[in-house]
Amino acid sequence: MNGVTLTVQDLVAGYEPGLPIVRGATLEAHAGEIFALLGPNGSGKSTLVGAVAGLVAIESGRVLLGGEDITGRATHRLVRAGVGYVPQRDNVFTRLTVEEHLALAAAPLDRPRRSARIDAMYDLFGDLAAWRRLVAGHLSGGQRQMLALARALVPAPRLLLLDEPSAGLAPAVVDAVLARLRGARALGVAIVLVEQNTRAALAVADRGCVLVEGRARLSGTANELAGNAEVARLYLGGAGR
Amino acid sequence: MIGAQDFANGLILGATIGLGAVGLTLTYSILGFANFAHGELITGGAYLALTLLWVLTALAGWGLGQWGALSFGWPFVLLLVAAMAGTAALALGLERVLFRPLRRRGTMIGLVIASFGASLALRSLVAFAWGPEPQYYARAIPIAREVLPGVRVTADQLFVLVLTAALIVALHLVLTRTTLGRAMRAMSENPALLAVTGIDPAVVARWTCVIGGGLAAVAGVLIGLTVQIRPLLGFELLLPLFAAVIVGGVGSVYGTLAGSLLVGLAEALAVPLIGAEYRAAVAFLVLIAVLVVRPVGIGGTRA
Repeated sequence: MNGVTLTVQDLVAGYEPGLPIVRGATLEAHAGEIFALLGPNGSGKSTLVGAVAGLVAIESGRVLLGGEDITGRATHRLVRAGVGYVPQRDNVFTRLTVEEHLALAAAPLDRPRRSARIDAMYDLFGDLAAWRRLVAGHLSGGQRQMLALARALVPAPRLLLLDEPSAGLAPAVVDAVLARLRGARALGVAIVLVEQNTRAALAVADRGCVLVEGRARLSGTANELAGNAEVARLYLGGAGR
Repeated sequence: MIGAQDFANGLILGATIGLGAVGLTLTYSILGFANFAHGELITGGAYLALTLLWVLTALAGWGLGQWGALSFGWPFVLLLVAAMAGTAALALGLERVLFRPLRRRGTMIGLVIASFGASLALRSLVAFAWGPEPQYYARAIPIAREVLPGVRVTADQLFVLVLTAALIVALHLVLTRTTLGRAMRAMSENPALLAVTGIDPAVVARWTCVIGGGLAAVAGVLIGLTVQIRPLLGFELLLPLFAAVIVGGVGSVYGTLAGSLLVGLAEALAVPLIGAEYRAAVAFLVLIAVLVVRPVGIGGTRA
């Protein structure tokens, strides 16, 4: 197994002081793996990744990136430390063009690396080059998701947090998005994937956990989770495989 | 009877409104609140330049100088740059001490009221420090020349038009060709997503204050040059500024410029038609007429 990229220890986080949504979650994500964060609505999945990304206040617990404590660090500093994040909604700037998105994401990098990283994204997401002059507001939902993913990958993050990338997308587009995730995984990125679509998430993930009421209840490999009777009954609509 | 001269007057008035309004629309859309203290930044710029002129005159015997038909020379450029720097510093100070802490607490109405309070305090401070009487950079009366049939303008007024156009083009280049400009446009849409992109929204907010304050200073100095300098200079301009911003569409630089020209022309054309005493109300008739036809303003976009 590759080294640990993300460690979340006893994390308590939420939007209002004293009203935590994540209530003592602990998990690990490794380099070069997709870690699925599953669970029912309101279980705290999005809040957890939001807290890791510095967008939700952390009350207690620790977040480590490659062993370094990044708890409570400002969001823009986390990006520079190697944390990429794609929110579920409003994940592009509708009035900026595709190339402006990528240029903005490359801005924190050293000048010589900027164009190389943007070119790498045009290689990884072939369609983006054709849309480079289009403002994101004119893109379809799937195209926006690709752009959001490319934007997050420009700085070559060590950790990529994805919040419901399949939400509202046609199945074929979901497949295309997940295929790009496999590409990112192959580059050694640790990917934490929040998904309502449990079947799609477990199909692409290596490991994962089920979050219930802000705590990680079940964890294991994707096969173990898919074979778990409770997971199958609650999230896969069957009795396990 | 409306003549070509009224259109020229409207264009010049619209240009000065434009400089202030563009700064206001940037802070409105990027910092997310209506800054009623923006008028006092315009006043502050005019008085900072005046004070520096007094100091230079007292210490070194400098005057405004003269370039051809203009009523000023290169010392005026120094005053303009110094006023921009000083006003940008004032805008930064307000952001740091007043607006940023309130923005972090998420109290939008508190921000607007605080900006109103800052406006009142600064206006009183100016009246106390410099007196309520009108002041002038130079006492010489500029001579208007006929530039088109029936249109007489002073060289200073032409300078106002040229400088406004140059600054708007420069601002356009900043907003479209630089990382700061892209970040400013991005922040006007989604500050959290900007942070996720690796850029500190607080830095963008500071630069927005610097640019907005700088443009406000230029507007104040140009009004001081072509009209007069008074403590109420910026306050009286505030309502036309907001009218121009809303008519143009909040956040749209070109829309705001168009809104400013529309408001300036409407006010100037109202003088021969209904009298100077009602000109201020005309800005609001324009505002209502545009919003009825296009609720997001000329250059605005629906969310």
